[in-house]
Amino acid sequence: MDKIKAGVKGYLELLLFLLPVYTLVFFLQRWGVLEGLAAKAEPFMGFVGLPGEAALVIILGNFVNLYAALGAVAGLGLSSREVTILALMLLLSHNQILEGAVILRVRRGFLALAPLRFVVSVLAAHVLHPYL
Amino acid sequence: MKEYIEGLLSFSLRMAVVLIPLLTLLEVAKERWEGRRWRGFSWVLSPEGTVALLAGLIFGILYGAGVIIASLRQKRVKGREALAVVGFLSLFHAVFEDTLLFVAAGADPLAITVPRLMLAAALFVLLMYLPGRPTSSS
Repeated sequence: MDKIKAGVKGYLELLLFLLPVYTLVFFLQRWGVLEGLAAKAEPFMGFVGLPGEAALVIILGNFVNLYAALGAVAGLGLSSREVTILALMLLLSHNQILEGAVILRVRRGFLALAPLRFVVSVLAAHVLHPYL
Repeated sequence: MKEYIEGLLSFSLRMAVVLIPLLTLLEVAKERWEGRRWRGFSWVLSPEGTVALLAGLIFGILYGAGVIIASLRQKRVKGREALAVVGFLSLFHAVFEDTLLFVAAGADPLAITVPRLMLAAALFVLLMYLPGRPTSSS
């Protein structure tokens, strides 16, 4: 029984990030506030085959966590092709601060793996997005 | 407003369907896991390295952090092996949870799993067998 409780607790943690991010992104998008960011991010995001506003998902996933990124995915209402590209990138590179802390605790020199993850995620999406 | 509520409900419901059973199962698995010794990868990894690799693969870097850090800090684990394991895991971990969350959000499961596994395996081989550069000892 307490195993199920742990499962529910984990889900509540997801909601804790998902709810506010989804709400914020949904309305910011609706009101056109994200257009400026989207336009700025367009050149970089085009490199990985995504629309400008998807930059928000990448930023949230890397600096906060996947739950926050999923909230933004839902709020933006992206297509399943776009979700696949984002998933490919974010599964390779996410939650950099907390996971970086774990990597650092194994051996200090290993921290170089953190930026490497991000670079690999960008290159993988660049190469694979035409096929997705 | 209707769109907001519908989007929220359908998305959180899909996440609930995936996450609650999965986290419950992982919790059960974690309890049975403790204290086991694994030799399946003994041709390339020490028992400690194997435990760290499997813990990261199944439970993820954060949830498996305790096991990963403790195992890889053992004296018997060489710097090169620890680097290769952490490098692999940095690209490929929490295979069930992270993958299923995005599949529930609409991603193609094969397209996100196969490239990731290949990249992580390539990085592992590179870090483990690349000649020269001596890796830091603890």
